[in-house]
Amino acid sequence: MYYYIMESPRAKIASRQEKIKDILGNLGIAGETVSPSAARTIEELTHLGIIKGYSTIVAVGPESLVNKVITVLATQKEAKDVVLGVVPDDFSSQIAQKIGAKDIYVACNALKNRKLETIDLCLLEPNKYFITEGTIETFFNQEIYFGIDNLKGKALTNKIIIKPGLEAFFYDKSLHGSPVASFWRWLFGKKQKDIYSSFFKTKRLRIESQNNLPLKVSGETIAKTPFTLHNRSRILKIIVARDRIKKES
Amino acid sequence: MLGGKTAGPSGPGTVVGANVKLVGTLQDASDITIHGRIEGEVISSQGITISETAYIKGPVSAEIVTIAGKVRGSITATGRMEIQPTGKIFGSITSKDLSIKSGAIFVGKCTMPEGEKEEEEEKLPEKEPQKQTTYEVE
Repeated sequence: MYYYIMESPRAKIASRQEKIKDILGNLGIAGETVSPSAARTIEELTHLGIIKGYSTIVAVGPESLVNKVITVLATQKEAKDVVLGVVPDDFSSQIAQKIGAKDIYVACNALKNRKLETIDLCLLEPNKYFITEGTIETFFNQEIYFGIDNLKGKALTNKIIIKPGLEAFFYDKSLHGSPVASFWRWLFGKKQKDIYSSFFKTKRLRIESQNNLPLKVSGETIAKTPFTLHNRSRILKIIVARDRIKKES
Repeated sequence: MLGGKTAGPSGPGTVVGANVKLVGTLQDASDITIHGRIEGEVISSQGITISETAYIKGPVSAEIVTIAGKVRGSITATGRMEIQPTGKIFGSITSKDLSIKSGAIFVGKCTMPEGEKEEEEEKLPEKEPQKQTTYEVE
């Protein structure tokens, strides 16, 4: 029933993986465990799990691994009824917060309890999905051209954060002003009203720029401008912890 | 959400920063706050706030509209409309409840649908005696 895709075993994480396997065994939810290698990629292993008819595919490891598994689950028709489970390697990460896992035990127990939630994903054209936020960041403000549904726009921004549900936050370095101005504000404890940041929630977002700026998801560059993102709402069933407190957006 | 969301509001609503320029129709079921420049229609089912730094060239339509920036185009508020001292409007406005603060600039025609109805009701009884007079002459 459970199909676990774990990171390639390295000396650093080997003991952690053994610990996870022990917990899963004690909970009675041990299943087939696979790891990527030179012969088989994460995507191929996920595809194999779907073909074998597993109803729950669990990604054990970093967010980049989770996003690769998600991409296969979201694109394959056979994976329509497959549920995704996650055992994160970093419990302060966005994915850990999303599923409400505070530690390994909570994450493994959640797999047993199987509380399901249907979530939104971001689709990066042509066929990449991600569950956590994507970021474009530069040191200085850059001129960005963007398209939102039937709107075309131009913005000065040094950071764009894109969250699933296609919520785009545009931050502007102008908010901080000159170093002298920001020093005086700091000295007198004054806060500047933020009139520079922008927020859009949309179904489709296209971003273009003069230089090719990287879109990073979980620290990994998955695309460079220009690129187009779509919101795929309620596309994937994911296992979440029972006592999870939902973050107010 | 942009592109016409029918469900209730979710999240903070659309915010257009001061260094953002948009061309097209900006539509949101939630509140819209504009600090930047828009050339096109702005529509919200709730409120639109046009800040001091904002410039809009096109029609604006919402339930509640607060204007502190510059608008060139017609503005329709199904509920309340407030023009702040820094507000500049060049176009017609339609509102049920209007407040124009001292210092604001408004060049255009103002229509208040409720007020027009009241005026029509007041005019109606005056016409009836005139008809009677005509009848007597005959």
